[in-house]
Amino acid sequence: MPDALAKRLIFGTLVLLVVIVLSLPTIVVLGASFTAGNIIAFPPEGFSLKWYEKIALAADLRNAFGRSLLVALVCTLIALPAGTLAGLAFAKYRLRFTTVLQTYLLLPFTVPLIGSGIALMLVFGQMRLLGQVWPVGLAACIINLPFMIWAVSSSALGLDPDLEWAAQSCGAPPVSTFLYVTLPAVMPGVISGGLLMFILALNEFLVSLLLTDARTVTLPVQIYNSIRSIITPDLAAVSVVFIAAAAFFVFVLDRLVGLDIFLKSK
Amino acid sequence: MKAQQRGSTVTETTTIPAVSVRDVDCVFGTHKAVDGASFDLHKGRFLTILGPSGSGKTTLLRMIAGFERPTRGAISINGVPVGAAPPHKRAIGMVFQRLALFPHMSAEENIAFPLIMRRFDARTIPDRVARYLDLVQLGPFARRRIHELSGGQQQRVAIARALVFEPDLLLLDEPLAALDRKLREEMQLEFRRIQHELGVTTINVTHDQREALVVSDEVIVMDKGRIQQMAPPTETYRAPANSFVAGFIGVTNLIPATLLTANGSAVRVATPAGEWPGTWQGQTVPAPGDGVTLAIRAEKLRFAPKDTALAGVDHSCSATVADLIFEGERVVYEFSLERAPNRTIRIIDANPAEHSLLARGAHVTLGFSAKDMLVFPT
Ligand SMILES: Nc1ncnc2c1ncn2[C@@H]1O[C@H](COP(=O)(O)OP(=O)(O)OP(=O)(O)O)[C@@H](O)[C@H]1O
Ligand SMILES: [Mg+2]
Repeated sequence: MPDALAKRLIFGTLVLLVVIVLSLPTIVVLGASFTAGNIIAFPPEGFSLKWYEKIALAADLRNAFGRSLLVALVCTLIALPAGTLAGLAFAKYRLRFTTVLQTYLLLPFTVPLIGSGIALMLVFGQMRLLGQVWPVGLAACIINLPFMIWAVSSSALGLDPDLEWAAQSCGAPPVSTFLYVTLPAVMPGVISGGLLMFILALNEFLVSLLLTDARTVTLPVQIYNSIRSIITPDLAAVSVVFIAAAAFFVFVLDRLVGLDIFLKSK
Repeated sequence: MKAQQRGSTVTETTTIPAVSVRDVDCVFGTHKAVDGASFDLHKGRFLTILGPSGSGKTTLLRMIAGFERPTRGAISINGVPVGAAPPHKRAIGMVFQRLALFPHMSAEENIAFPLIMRRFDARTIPDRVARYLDLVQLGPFARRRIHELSGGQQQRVAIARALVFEPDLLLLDEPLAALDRKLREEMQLEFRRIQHELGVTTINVTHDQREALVVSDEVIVMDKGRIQQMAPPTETYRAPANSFVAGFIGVTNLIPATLLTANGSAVRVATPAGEWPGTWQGQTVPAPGDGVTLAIRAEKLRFAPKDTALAGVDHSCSATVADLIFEGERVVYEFSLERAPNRTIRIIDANPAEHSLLARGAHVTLGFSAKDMLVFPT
C-alpha cells in the first residue's frame, strides 16, 4: 500500500512538472502581454489592453498576419491532395518503395532548414517567383509535406487491407470506392495532417526569412525584425494572438474529428 | 425470380451449376497456389473448402470473387463465364476474414452501401435494410458505429452487408477464425440458419474441420493447391479419397507400410510392428512390394487391459500407455507399441465416465478390425 502511494506521488509530481514546464512560456507571454508598463516584464506591471490595441492598429503587423494566413492557406491547399494521395500510396504499396520513401519522410529532420531554405531561394529566384507571397506557401508545403504524408499513411495503415475489395464486392467501381470508402476512412488523418500543415506554415520562420522581402514579409519574420530594434510588450501580445490562433485550430480539430481518434489505435 | 429463390430448399437443383470451376490454375511467380482445380456447385448448396494453411483456399475464393485472375482455366457463375469481369460487376457477396466493415459508417449505412452502389430504388432501401437487420438480429443496433459493436455483432453486420442485395453467390473467407470457440459455434449455426432461410449458394473457407462437417452440404479438402476430395461431409469422413484426407479429417493414425499380399480388397501389409491386415482403398489394383499408408481412425480402435481377450477383432497387439489427455467428454490415449516402441497409436475413449482410466505405463492389448484399417497407395 505505501508502495502504491509513493508511486502515485512520484508520478503526480512528474506530471505536474511536465505540465508546468510545457505551459510556462505561454503563461509568461500571456501575462506580459497585459502589462501596463512599457517593457516586457513578468509578472506584469498593472493590467491593460493597450498593447493589443497597438497591434490591432499597426498596419504592418496586420498585413503580415494576413500574408501568413495566405501562406498557410496555399500550403494546406497544395498539401491536401498531394499529401493524401502520397500517403495512401505509401500505405498501399509499402512493400515496394519502403526504403526510398522512408528516407524522404526523414528529410525534414536530416536536412537543416537553412539548407532547404537556401536551395528554395535559388530555385525560386531562378524561376523569378520571389517577391510574391504564394511561393512561400509552396515552400512551406515542400518542406513539411512528410508530416502530411505521415498523418495520412498512419491512418491508412490502421485500415483493414481488404477494405477496398469489400467496397468492390458491394458493387462500387474504383472511383466510388475511393470517394465513398477509402477517402472517408482516412479522413481523420487528412484533417489532422491538413491542420498540422496549416499551423506549421503559419509559424514557418526560417525559410520565410530567406524567401520574403519588405513587401512580402510574414508575421514571424515581421516579429523577428521588430525584436532587432526594441523589445516592447506588443510582441507578447502578437504571440498571444498567435497562440490563440493555434489553439483555435486544435479546437476545430477536436470538433471535426475528435481528438480521441488520435489517442485510440483505430 | 429473386423472390422465388428465397426459401427454396437445398434439394432443388437445376442443370446449370451456380458455380462452375474448370481446370483453374493460379500461379504467383514460380509458385502454383492453385493447381488444376475443377468443381461444380449447385444452386442453394453450402460448400466448405477445408485445408491446411497455404493450400490455396483464399486464392481459389478470390478468383471466384474476381480479385485474382486465373492463370489458366475458366470460372462460370450460373452458366455465364465471368472471365475478366471486375469484382463490382459480379453479383457476389463476400464476408472477409477481418470483416472489412466501413469504419466511418453505422451498421445500417454499411448494410445500405451495396444497395446504393447497385442502384436499387432509393424508396425501397430503408425497408430492405431493416429486413436484413432483423434477419441478423441487429435491429436495436442499427445506428451504432462499427467500433461500438461487439465482435459477434460486427460479424452479423458483415453477413447482412454481403446478403442484402441478394447475390447469386455468398463467399465466406474464414470470417469466424478470430472468434472464441463458443461464439464461433454459435455463429456457425447462425450461418446455417440464414443460408437455409435465404437458400443462397455459399462457399465457405475454414481451417476448422468441425465447422466443415457441421455446416456444409459439400466439403472440398485442399492440399498444396490441389483439390484432394469433394464430397458430402459424411463421405469425407467415412470414405476419405486418399491418405491426406484421412489424416486431415478427425484424429487418425497414419502408419507407413509395405504391401505384402492382396486378395481383392483384402490386403496384408508389413508395418514397423509386424504384419497387419487391411482394406485396400486405392483405385488401382494393389501390387505387392508397393509402399502404402495405413490409416486408422482413433475412435475405431479398441483396447483392454493386458491378457483380457477382445472379442470380434481381426488383429491384436500389445502396447503400453505412453500418455493420456483427459478432455472431459473423452480421453485421448497414446499407446506405444511393444514391437515398435517409437511408434505411438492414438485412441479415443469416448466413454471415460464408465470405467476407470488407465495409468501411464499400463500394459494393454489393442484390437483392430480389418475394415477400419484403410490402406492407401503412397
Ligand atoms: N499475392 C500473392 N503473391 C504471391 N504468393 C501468394 C499470393 N497470395 C497467395 N500466395 C501464396 O499462395 C499460396 C496459397 O495461399 P492462400 O492464401 O490461398 O492459402 P490459404 O489456403 O488461404 O491459407 P490460410 O489458411 O493460411 O489462409 C501460399 O503459399 C501463398 O504464400
Ligand atoms: Mg486464407
